[in-house]
Amino acid sequence: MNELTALELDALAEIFNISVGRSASALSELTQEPVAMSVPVVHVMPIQRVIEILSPSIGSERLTCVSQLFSGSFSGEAMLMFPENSSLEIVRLMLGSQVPIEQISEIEQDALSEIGNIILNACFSTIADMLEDTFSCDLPKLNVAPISEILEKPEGESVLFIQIQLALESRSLEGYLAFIMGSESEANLQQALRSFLTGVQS
Amino acid sequence: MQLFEQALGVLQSGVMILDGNYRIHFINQWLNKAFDSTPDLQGEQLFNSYPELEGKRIHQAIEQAIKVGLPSLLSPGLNRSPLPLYRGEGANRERFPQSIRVQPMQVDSQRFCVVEVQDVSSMIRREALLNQQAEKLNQMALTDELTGINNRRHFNMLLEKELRRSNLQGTPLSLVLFDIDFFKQYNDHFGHPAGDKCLIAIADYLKHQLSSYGYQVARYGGEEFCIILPEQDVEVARHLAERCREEVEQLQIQHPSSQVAQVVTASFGIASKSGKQSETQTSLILRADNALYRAKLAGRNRVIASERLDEA
Repeated sequence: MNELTALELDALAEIFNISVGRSASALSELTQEPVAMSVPVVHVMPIQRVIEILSPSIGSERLTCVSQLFSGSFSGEAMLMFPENSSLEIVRLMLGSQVPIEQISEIEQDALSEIGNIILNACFSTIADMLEDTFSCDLPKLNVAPISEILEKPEGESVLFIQIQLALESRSLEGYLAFIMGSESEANLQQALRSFLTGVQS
Repeated sequence: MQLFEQALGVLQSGVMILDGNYRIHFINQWLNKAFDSTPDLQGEQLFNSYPELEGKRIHQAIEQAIKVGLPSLLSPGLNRSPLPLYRGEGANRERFPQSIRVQPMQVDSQRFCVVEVQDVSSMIRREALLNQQAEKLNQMALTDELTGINNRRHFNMLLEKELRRSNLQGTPLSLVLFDIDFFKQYNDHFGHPAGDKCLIAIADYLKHQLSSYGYQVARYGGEEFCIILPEQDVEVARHLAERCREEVEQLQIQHPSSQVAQVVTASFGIASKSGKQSETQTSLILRADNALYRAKLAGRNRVIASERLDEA
């Protein structure tokens, strides 16, 4: 496929800003705390490049990843990732729990899956809205592992990679959304974006 | 088909299937029994029967499954008890915590939604117990066994936190270190159990008098105590230390082998930092310890403050 144009990337950024905005209000309703989210950067790149870019800042820390498989006009795996410590902090802030960070339990793990599920679903429903598409997807799975293991996917897959900034009680935490797709799916996404942009401009 | 329905009927968790109009197409016995009011929910519209669910997360999840075809997970940590479901009989009847999965299901061209409910009471109870134990262990690790006040390890953590705050926000911080005079002689004279009682009496006094001000007290070592005064300058610390000194004396614990008084007394050293200067923990403690040493040299039962760094 061709590289996405600047216009197409902007359209994607808009879609994801709407998505995380929706998830932020859902999360803040749920926790009764102000939650704000924004998407500074959207990028499409090979999976190997994602690992290269993330590795220095993550170091040896593990990633907490909530993933859902999806299929539609483009298909693949959607992931929400946070460095492990940030993810524990998020869940502790949201649950108001006092327990030390190393004692995260089943309840907190489920809560993390739900938080991921809310954010990923908001992305899917916004994409479906704007690109007039439908998706079906699986229930979320939670996985905590080193980055190389989380992103161990067949070569040649490309990733729609989105940096997200989450603000919670005066803390600002960085996380990542990744939509891993085969090249055919990527072409279909581009096609959908083009018709969306034509629709907007006409 | 009947076999499957029977199987769902004996299942010890809840299953219900809603159609595109939120009408309950199927509900298994376990779930129907757990709902409080209506005898048979089959055929009812869920949100007509339970209007209080309207707009809640469970409503959004079901709507998302039916309209957009997306599955949701409702975890007990974030939603303790999304549906009005009860267990037990009579006075023991209580709404139970739930874990819920909501999944879309496409049959021919019709979209349904499967809601799966689990009672997670025992998981929640186990967790509460574990949390309690963890908290107790943490408390034990940070408390001085004899006196019940903060131990040295906790003191170090608290001081580090307050120092960071002071350096960041530019607020002053004071530290008072004090030592019971001739405590070794007290122990030799009355024995260790009496010595322990003396330490407990002083710790109790500190705990009751000072915690209400937001000052933290800790046992630093054998007969050595310390007080952290967040956001207070040297004058406040000096005033407080002077008061402590008087009141320790007024506890009137007899101390015949003391060379400075008839009763137990203490010597005090103070180190304060202004909001402007940045200082490390070691340096602050060293300065307080040095002031305490000079208080002892100068004859004990007195308060001496370290000179401020920016004046030295």
